[in-house]
Amino acid sequence: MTKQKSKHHRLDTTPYFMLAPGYLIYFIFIMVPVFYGIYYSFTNYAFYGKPGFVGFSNYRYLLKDSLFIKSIGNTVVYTVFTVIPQMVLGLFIANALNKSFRTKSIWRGMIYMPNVTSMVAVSMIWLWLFDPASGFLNMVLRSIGQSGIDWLYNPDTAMPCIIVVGVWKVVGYNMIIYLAGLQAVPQSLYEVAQIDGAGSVRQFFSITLPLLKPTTFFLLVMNTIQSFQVFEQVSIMTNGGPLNTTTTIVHQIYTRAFLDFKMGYASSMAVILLFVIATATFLNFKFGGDTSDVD
Amino acid sequence: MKRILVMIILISSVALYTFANGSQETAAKAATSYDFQFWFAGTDGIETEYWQTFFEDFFADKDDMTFSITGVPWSDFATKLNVAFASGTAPDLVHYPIASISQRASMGQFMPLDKYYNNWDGKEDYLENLYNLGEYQGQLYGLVTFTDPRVLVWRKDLFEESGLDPEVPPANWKELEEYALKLTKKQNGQTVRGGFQIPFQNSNQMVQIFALQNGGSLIDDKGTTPTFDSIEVMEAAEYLQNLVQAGVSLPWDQLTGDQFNPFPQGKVAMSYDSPQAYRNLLKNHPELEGKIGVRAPLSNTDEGTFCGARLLYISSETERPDLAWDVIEKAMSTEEALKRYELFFAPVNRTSLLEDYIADDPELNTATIAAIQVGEGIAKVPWFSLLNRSVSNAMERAFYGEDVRIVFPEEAEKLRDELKDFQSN
Repeated sequence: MTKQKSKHHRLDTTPYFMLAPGYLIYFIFIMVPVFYGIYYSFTNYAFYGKPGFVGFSNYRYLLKDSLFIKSIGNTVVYTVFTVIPQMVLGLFIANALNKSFRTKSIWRGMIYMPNVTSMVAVSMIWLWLFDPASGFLNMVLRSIGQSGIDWLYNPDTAMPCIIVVGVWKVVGYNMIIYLAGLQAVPQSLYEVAQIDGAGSVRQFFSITLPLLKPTTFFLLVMNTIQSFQVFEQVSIMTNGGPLNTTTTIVHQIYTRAFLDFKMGYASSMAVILLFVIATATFLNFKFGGDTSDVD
Repeated sequence: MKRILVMIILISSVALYTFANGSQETAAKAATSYDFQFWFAGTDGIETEYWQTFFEDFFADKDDMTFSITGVPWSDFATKLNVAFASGTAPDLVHYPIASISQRASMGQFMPLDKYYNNWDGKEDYLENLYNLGEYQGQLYGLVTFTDPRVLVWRKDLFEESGLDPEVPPANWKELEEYALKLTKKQNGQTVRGGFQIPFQNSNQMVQIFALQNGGSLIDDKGTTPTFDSIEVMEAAEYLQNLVQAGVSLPWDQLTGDQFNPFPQGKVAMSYDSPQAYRNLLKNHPELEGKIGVRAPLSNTDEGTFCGARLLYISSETERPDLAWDVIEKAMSTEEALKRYELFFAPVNRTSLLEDYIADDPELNTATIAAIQVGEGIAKVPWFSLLNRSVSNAMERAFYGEDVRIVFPEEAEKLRDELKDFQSN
């Protein structure tokens, strides 16, 4: 009996060995840089030379850095106006393409394609579309007798343009995830609802939406994190202008770190971003994380 | 237990293999006494080929040495160089623009070249202003191989269309304004063809050009404080603001690159551009041959323009500074200067070559040399990116309707405040 018990409790270390490489890589390439970033945020590190400890002075300077404060506002605006449309559109398109018709695969492929295209390439294409002198959009407007618009050079339209590109790029990803979610909804529920006389709208709101709650929650978290990190299209299309109306947190981090070489200061911005994203994710989990199965 | 043993043996084998492989590489490296590293900005095919041939030729009689050349994309160059210096793997020789002098020299990453330069037999022949471009705080850090000055270019066909003499470009600011207004075409109150191109964003270079022509400067002579709120610079800014508000320009951000530049597209009649861009334009649009005019930069009270340049710098981490200088000497020779002109029309850098250079293309090359002689590069201060941003911000605010006399002092003051922090931090 005693022998059996000790055999039962013997620690099998093999799984730990198997898991170790993954955790090790994660620790070295993710956690160590994060800790280093936090450490640098309290220094005047300039990429070379020895970082000197400066206490909270980087954080104090952040409070009076009008550009950084503006970048937080811009990032929040970008996040709100990309996350919601890309999820709503993603769900709408997924629903439309969840039916059986001949060209559905082509449509799915076309809508998903921007998501696997390089953001640099995407930005260059949109840059041409928005070009005030010879861009496609202004050519269309002029051909119907309208004045062209200085899309990316007008402080009122630059951010909406960046948002449009962001939504266009990611809507395909939302569609694919929603499609997977939709295909997991049992058909029997719709059949029962139909027998009970529920129309398609009622079925959508009473069956589809509630059963897609885990998918929606997943997308909300992923899209929020991704939107807070917006950088490439800003850097390529507007470089934060005009009048800094499109500069974002990551754009400011890049500018301070790689153009001004103020790595310590940029690290303090990155720590704030980490905090903002962690808070947003926490709130999402707290208020949207109820993923109980209603089936 | 057996499984653990198998795992340990497996991991040890991989580690041993990696170690053995590394040792072989180290042994192979030891066979050659030195591997000379050269990095240059850009990935252009012709330039890569040029440097490859250049180094093959240079190292042909040096059997115990090898070399490697690396073309780094412009956007990644600063970051890669930072990482290389931080990790002790910096190249021996670097080919990079003026912008890097102040930062790298003040951090001791580039080596002063005065002792080599003073003994160089080509120094009397080296174009005078090129020395100034490579100098920082009284010491020489780099020698110029490529210059990229800004000259005035105009579309002769559009001049004719607007009733202007295509062979007579504007000679001063007043005429530039008159011409620009005449050449501008509007539709429904909106500009569809610009008279003179001014970038709406990142316009610091344009401000610098006009400030210099008005006797102003973005920083003081000692390079310690910004002076872009001086009367001369603000007058230049007001001049540009008036032109933009009169609608003579089309919106364009200089950083978006040439593919969006309205001048090559014929959407703007006059512009400040580089001779290289002019040649590329003719290469891509042969139908424009004879339709583009070029002249030296204008002046208001003074002569001046922006002149970018790429220089050869010796890394302070190199173990072979003498060898690196020998490479520079070869690159500065008349043969190499001519080769670069033949291959990619790089303006020559020696006085003895000027006559032949100008004779080859009198209109363009006269303007180019005139621009080089009066040209100034990017401000040689470690905080040049902050300066560029502040000047661009001020100009942008002015373009969007704010008063130059308010925004320029405001942005300059903000920068001075930030510099206190920058220098103490």
